[in-house]
Order: sequence, then structure tokens, then C-alpha cells
Amino acid sequence: MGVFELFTAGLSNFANLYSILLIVGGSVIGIIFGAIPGLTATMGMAVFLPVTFTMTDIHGILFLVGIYVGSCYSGSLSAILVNIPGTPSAIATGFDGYAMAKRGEAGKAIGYATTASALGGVFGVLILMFAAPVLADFALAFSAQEYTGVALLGISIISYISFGSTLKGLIGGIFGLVLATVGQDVISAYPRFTFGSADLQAGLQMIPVMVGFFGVTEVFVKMEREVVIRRAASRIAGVLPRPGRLFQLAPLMAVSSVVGAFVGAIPAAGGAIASMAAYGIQKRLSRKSAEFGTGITEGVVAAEAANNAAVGGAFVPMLSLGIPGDPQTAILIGALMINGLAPGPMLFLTRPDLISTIYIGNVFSVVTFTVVGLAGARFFATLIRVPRHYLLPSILIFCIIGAFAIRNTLFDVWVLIVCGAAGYLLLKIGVTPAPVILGFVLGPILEDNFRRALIMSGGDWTTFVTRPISLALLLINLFILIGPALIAHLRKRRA
Amino acid sequence: MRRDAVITAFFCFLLGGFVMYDTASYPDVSGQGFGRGPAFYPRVLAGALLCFGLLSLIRALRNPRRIDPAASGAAKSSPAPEYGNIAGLMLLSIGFTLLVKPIGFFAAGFLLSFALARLIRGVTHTRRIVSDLLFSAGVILLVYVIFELFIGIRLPRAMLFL
Repeated sequence: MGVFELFTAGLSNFANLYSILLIVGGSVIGIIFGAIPGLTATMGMAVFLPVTFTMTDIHGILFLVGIYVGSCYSGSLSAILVNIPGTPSAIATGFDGYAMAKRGEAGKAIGYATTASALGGVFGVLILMFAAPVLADFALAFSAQEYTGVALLGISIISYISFGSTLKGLIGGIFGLVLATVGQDVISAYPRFTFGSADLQAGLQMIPVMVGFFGVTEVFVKMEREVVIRRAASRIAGVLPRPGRLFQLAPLMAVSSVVGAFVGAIPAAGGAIASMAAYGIQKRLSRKSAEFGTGITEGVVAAEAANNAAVGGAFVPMLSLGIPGDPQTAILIGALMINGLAPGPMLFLTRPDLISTIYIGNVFSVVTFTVVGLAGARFFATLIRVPRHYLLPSILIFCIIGAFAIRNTLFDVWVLIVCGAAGYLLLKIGVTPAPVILGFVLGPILEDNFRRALIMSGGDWTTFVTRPISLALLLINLFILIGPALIAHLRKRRA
Repeated sequence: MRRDAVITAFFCFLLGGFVMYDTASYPDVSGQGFGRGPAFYPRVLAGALLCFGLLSLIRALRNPRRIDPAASGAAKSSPAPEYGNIAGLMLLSIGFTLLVKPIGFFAAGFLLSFALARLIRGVTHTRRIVSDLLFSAGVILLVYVIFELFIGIRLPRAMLFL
């Protein structure tokens, strides 16, 4: 199927008001979650995932895509207004955005951030449309050995880029893999780590674990101390950007979007890495290099174009390989699995309408946040100061319902609470939740393919190195894990 | 930094050791190549955990504790963590889950929301009790409307309607 045909395959899904309301509603929820410091895109998607249970797969995915895209944009609002990024992908936005706000140019910063996010978001969808089918075709040749390598790649990368050390990221990833082994063995059906519990026979459910580690852990963290949010800087005026200035910034936005989309496509990389990379590159390339960080529109635009382009990029490995591009796409994979769909190259053949819906849904969400962001800037200035004694109980209640709604059993609520507490304790020793969740999501893929590869080869371990793609993936994994330390060691010896 | 690494190492030893111990009783299943059944994969993971734990411990022992003046200055200026809130949150969450069956989700949820709001404000804070009660009632009403009426997820009842 051609790119254009694939894009239009799902157009009919948008021919009704319900779909439009879902994508717009999801985007608005995402904007709210992304704008409020302490709430994240991942939390928003995890909390609202149970709302999709009674929807069709198309509608459920549309709703979650809206939340995802909306929240990736709106982290910039609190970064600009109060210098606290609403999402990690807005960290770089605050460098110049807040400085502009302190000078009385908050509206201008928001206007340029919104426009750059919109253009970056559209560019990301274009990359997705062209790259995903190509990668999916390539992945059709993959067997168990290659999928083992790809799953390991996801864990290696998230470990490498995790805040804190690579070693702790790896430990978190392996902990997630261990959690995924609870329940019946995929091949022999022997119960593992069930301790005689009937509830654990089916294994730990994805939603309580995800919501626990991403949602409840954050509630624990926010309970630790008050985040003092200063009054939003100055008045909000002059939001609409000047067309002439936008034209001048177009090359910068284009380059940042390219960087964002490609970094976003790296499994487990995400918008934070993408926006920092684009900001750093623009800072080097720009004639105003010395002014970056002092409050220039170039800084805001570079970061925002990249972080929204990364959204489209993150969908590439998710749809074509079934490997999450970031924690948010891990939740989308969970949503697809709940609906009995397996992300991967076969989805392009069996459900082109779903793929198309994701493409078009992205575009609709970009339009929504552009309109809401430009029109609602003043509203968000008040919203971001919701006190935590109202915010945290609400989030906790929603998390609990999310966990309960899977199987209507309180056991999943217990899992939620335990995972939330475990996530908080792991954070205390420097292990972040993202590698744990990615390990948990990738665990079944990794074990299934790893053991199948060994069964097919009759126990011959060389099967992973005799196939060229599998060997290449293993070498990339090795390089990611050992390469930086080796290079640093060699430099030290030379010095 | 050093204490983190030691605790991380012990976490790895504990988890890896437990996996090794529990999987020792799993059956060997022939015909699955080198896999040998349900214990194989968890043991590979446990082995990796034990290795990484050892690596973490070696790093902790080799690297002297470094005191970063900037970090310690920043740590002194930021408010101390409210660990009492953490313990309170844990107890309230456990209490909620235990209360759902006897008194129902909505009553338990109302109590959780109110108690948590009061905990965050501070146990000695006597003002705004009415606003916290109204807020908690509002949250539960919103939950009822969205999840029961709109989505159709039936939340647990008890003897009473709540």
C-alpha cells in the first residue's frame, strides 16, 4: 500500500462527531496534564487508559494519541510561565522561554512555542508516514533472533539515557523483565512466582504496574515536598507570532524538526533527549549562539519544534517493530494489546485503517493544541497553580480506578500501591521508573523470542551471531552499553 | 552516591538470590533446546542482576565518597522531605483498599481523598475543613459521573448504596 493510500485508509473513521470529540477532548486533557507541573504525559495516558476500555480500538487509540500529542506540547506553558517544565520534553524550552517571560514577553514566547510545536508535529507525522512502512517492510524479514536483539536494544538505550547511571538503568530494566516473568510460563504454562495465588496465575497486569510506577510513584514524590510555584511571570499578551518572523525562523524549525523526528525514532529516546539535542545543535549553528539562554525566540522554537517532531518519530519503532519509542508509546502498545492487537509490521497489512487513524489523529491533535494554546494562554497561567492538596488526591483516586477497572478486582489495586511504593524507593537509590516499565513491556517479547530462537536452533547459541541483522543488533547493543565507558577510559589513559 | 550504590547492590543480590532460590524447584523440561524449561529465563535475569549488583558494589568500594559543595549547599537550602507524608500516604492507601469491601468504593474514596487533603495541608491545620469536605465530595461525584454513568465501570458497593 502506498504512503497516500495508507494515510487515507482511515479517513472514514473521522466522518463522525464522536471521533472528532475524542481527539479534541483527548488533546485538551493532554494539554492540561502536560501544563501542570508534576503531571506528565505518561501519567495522563496511564490514568485515562481505562476510559478506553469500553471504546472500540480505533476510538481508544485516538483518545490516547490526543492526550499524548497535547501533553508533549503543553509542557512548554509552565516552563515559560514559571520555569518549571510540565513535562521533561520542555526542559530546554524553559531556558529561553522563562527569560522572555521575565521581560514581559510571556505571550510572545507561548505564541512561538505553540507555532513551532505545530510545525514540528506535522513534520513528525510526515516522517512517520514515510519511514514506518519502510521499516515495517524491513522488519517482515525479522525472525525470533532479530526480535530478541530489538527488545534488548530498547532496554540498552533506555538504560544508557536514563537519568543517573547506565548501570542503574540496566538494573531497572532487568527488574522490569523479572516482573514480567510472574505468572504462567509462555511455553510450558508452569506457574512462576505465583506463591499459590490464583490472582498471580495470569501474571501482573500491565495497567496497574504502569499506573503504579508512573502515576502513584509521582504522587509519592510530590508528597515529599511542596513545589513552590511562583506567580506566573507578567501579563500574557501578544501571543500571535508575526508571519515575517516565522518565515525567518523556518530553517531553524526545519532543522530542529529533523533532529527531533530522528532522535524520537530511537527506541526509548523520547522528546526530552530530542529537544535537548536540537537546542544544543542550534546553539552551535546559530549566529546568535551567545544569546541562547538569555531569552531569544530561537531557543524556544528549536526546543519545541524538536519535541513535537519526536512524537511522530516515536511512533515509527512502535508501529513498525512493536518496540516503544518512549514511555508514552509503551502505554499505547499496552492499549493495542488490550484490544487484541499486536503492534509490528503485520499491523500495516491487517489494520491499515488503524495506522491511518494514528496519522490523521496526530494532525488533528496538532491543530487542537495550536488553537487551544494560542487562545487559552491566560487560562493556563491560572491552571498551573492548582494546589497539591487538591491535585494529588484526585490523581490517586483516578489511578486506583484505572487499576481496578481492568479485572474488577482489588488485587490489582494492591499491585498498584506496591508498584507505586516500589517505584518511589527505587527512585531514592537512583533507579527511575522508565527502564522498569520498558523492561516489563518488552519482557514477554524478549523471553518469547529468545527461547523460541534457542528451540528453533536446537539449543545452539550461535544462532544469534550467525544471522547478519541479529549480529548487527547485538553489536549495537554492546556498543551502547560498553562504548561510552570504553571511550572515556581510553581518553583518560591518553591524558 | 556511595550509599546508593551499596543499597542498589544489596537490592540486586536480594532479588537475584530470591529468583535463583525459587526457580531451583522448577521442573526441567526436555525438548526445549538449551532452554530447559520455565526456570531458564528467570535464572538468566537473576544471573545478570547478581553480576550488576557485584559491579555496583565494586564501584561503591573503589570510589571514595565525594562531597560536592554545590550539591550539599543546595540540599541545605531546599526544605527537608516530609517523610511523614509518605508514611501517611502509604497507610491511607492500605486503609482505603481494606475499607472498600466493608463500606464500598465511594465512601472509602471520599475518606481517602479528604484524609489525604488534610495530610498535605498539615495535621495541625484546622482551617478549610469544609472546603476539603466539599472537594472530596466533588471528586467522588465526578468519578461516579465519568466512570459509572458515562463509561459503565461498576465500582464496588457495600451494604449501603455507597
